[in-house]
Amino acid sequence: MTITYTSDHFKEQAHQALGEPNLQRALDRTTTLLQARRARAYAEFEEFESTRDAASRIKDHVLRHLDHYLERFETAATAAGCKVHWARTADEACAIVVDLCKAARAQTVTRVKSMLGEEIGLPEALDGAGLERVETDLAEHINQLAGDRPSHIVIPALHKTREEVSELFREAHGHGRRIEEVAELVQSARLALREKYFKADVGISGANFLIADTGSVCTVTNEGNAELTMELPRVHIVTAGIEKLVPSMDHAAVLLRVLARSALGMEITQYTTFLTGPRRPGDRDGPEEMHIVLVDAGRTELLADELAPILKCIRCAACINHCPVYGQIGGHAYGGIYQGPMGSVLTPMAASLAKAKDLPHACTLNGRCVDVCPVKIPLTDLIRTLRERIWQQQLTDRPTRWGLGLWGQVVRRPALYRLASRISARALRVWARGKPMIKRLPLDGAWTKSRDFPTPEPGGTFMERYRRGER
Amino acid sequence: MSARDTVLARVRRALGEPPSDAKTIEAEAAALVPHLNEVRPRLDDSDAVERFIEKATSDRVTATVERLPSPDALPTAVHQYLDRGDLGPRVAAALPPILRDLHWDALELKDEIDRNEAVALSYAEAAIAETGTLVFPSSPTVPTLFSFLALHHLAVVRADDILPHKEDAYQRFVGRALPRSLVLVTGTSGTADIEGQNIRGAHGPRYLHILILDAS
Amino acid sequence: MNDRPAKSEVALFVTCLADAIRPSTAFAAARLIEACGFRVHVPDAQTCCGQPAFNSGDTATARALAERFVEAFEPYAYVVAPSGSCMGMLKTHLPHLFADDPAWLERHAALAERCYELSSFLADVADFTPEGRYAGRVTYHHGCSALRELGVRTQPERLITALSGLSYMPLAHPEACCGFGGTFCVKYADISTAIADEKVDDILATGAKTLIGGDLGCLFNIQGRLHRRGADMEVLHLAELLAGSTDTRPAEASGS
Repeated sequence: MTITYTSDHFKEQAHQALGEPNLQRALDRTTTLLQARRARAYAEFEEFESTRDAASRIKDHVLRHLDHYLERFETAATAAGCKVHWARTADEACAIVVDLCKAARAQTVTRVKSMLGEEIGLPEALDGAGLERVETDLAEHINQLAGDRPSHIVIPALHKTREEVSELFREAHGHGRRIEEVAELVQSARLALREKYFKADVGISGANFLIADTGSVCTVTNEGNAELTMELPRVHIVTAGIEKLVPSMDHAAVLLRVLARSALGMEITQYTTFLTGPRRPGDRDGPEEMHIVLVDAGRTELLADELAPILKCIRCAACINHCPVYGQIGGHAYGGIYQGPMGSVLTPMAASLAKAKDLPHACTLNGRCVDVCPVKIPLTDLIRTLRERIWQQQLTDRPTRWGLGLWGQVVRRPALYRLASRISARALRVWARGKPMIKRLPLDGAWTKSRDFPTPEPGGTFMERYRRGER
Repeated sequence: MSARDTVLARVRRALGEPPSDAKTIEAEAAALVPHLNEVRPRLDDSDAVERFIEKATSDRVTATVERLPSPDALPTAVHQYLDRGDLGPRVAAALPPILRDLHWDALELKDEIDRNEAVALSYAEAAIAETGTLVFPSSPTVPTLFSFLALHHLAVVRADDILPHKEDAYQRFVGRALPRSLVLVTGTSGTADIEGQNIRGAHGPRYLHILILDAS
Repeated sequence: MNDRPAKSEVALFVTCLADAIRPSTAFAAARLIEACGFRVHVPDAQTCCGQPAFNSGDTATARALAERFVEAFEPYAYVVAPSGSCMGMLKTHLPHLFADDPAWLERHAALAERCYELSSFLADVADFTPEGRYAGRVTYHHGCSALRELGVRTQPERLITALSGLSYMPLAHPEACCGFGGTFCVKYADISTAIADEKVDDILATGAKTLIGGDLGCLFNIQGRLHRRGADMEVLHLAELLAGSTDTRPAEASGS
């Protein structure tokens, strides 16, 4: 199901987020911690940079030979007993999953968080088909109770404080208690979800990697909810973007080493599972059917685009955790499924450039995201590419266009530029009336809404003073 | 055109160039990681078992480890663990015959695991020193769920099966079919979903006790 | 190469902000470069590095400025700017604008290897060690472009700590952006301010009385927020700190 983007209200949403004390508290507590953890993991792994190089090369290679790896994977997964499905669009992918659930006469489906599932609107599609959908990831369980979308791709309920979670669990888990300790909140969810795992007819998961030569699906979790979701129901459905392929287990090992360190500062997640086909003769657990839905939903379009490097993304969220803008406004302000730098590249492509034109601009281009990306995606370059398109398609607001147009004419002419500098410096000095700092700037007051501006020094511009022989 | 053919055609159109042959691609893939030492932590000469223990008992993995001189010591060690935690005599066990046939008289070993099982005992075919990880290939003898349902997970691994790196563990499956499910377990079921705080026992085990069997 | 200019000729890229608002920074930079035994030139044909256009997607204007820059600065042995952000643009981003033009790419590449942000020029090329004195506790804000586009990491601190009488108090989060981001700071002023507030908190927590930086953009942003919050702190460009201490004439820190 096509999801609704609200990225066109970015400014209002960001403004609102800045004024939400609970969100601000949650962001402060979490992003600082994640940055420190990643820094520690980085420092402790001497070979991080060379591993990162290899990880980046692997993703480049796979994208360059994506057709080969898709076919290879399909052959191997089919040989292992999986049924492989292909979906051109989000709607097609959702329809395949819903049909499989119907064929299994399912009433209850358990789900492991997968960003692809969110992206294609799978939760909404399952709800629309009248299925009881149970989100098993703790954060997604919280989001489901609150009716929220994920605000972070790795920690989807990052926007919630423990106090808010406590309030949600008090009713939903039926114990009526106001729990203060995080550990007790986790226990409350454990009890509530345990029965659901056993009740489910279908389990739906995503994939962190698809191993081409073995046909295996690799998932990583810390909670262990993926395994309970994938092992217990009679039918297991995997939805995965076509960019998730890697050549072999050894290649996956390289990516796994940078993934967990970049995401949560861990050497490895608690659980890394490779599933190769459904239950085999003699097995005492595992699903009877295993389906894999390979989803395009705009990926082939990206592959042909200058923005193709974003397809290397392994959804670790390091760019998000280190983004100063995300750190202030959280995930919901972005108005889509993905947040921060990677979201500012993906959302305009998914929603439309016109709708999401704020996202590439809401970035200081400080470049920290590029530094921490485990697969070396040139995020700031991609963001600039989108800015260029916004400009070319005349989506930039008119005052900015005119202002920059005029400025462009001036800076192309050195003599005129020097004159303009002289005039503006003098005008500002007059405006400042002898004070060292200006409280309110003329014309655009955006700077001085919250900041003062230094008054130009006396005696004119550097260029004129230098020409007068001053040294 | 089927969805499959459409997606593949779109991929080929996006890539532009005619596809390379499989041999060339495989050679290129193999060359992506020329030196394994550049893509994994160097383990100094310390013994893999020692490194494994250090990692498994670190504050990040939080397992407890016990080294047993021989398999015969296993039943007593399990019994003592249960006594220490006042957990009763019942254990859901997934062990290979040679360990299943030890003298377990004082305990009640079950071959099935209940949804609210308190203690599960399962056999890891290998372990990885790099990260303090246990390797559980699923099989009729060791079903996957034994590692996920109980609050207390007791894992048995032979010292000889503790290997340096992930790749060494994968090597064990070269030339034979991958198990249906291959699970790498590093510690216990945990979550950082609420305010980034690490909490154990989210859905599965809260405690992991590893019993290392020395050769004999 | 015999058409190379004499090794002692340095062209100063003044930057818009130093030119119009804070000439002291550019004078200080020029004096420092001369103190190292180089001759300073200030090419008349210079204007802006083009970032406002480039970062707004107006590549046509940015490209026109890029060509002007290469033409105007090619004749000199070195190009130095008292800004990591402008130099990051001139040194690392111009190739994006010349991507379809091998001749310009080549001309730029030859020039780029002679382009330096001030602190790295002083520390790495001129091997400069300041000998002056500055009494007080100072901290330093790394501009993001200097840090990540140019890899200027240790040079500013090396120069600062060479001064006597000074105690250096590093920031707890030296990698963090101050929220300036060029047009970002006015387009998304409230987000920018929130980021600046964290930087300001970090700066105040050091107990320093003077904030030093290598980029006037960042410094104006931080100073503007510090001042609005009523914090009493001197804000200096690194060039001013160093020149003020090597020269008999102290740098003018603020207007009036």
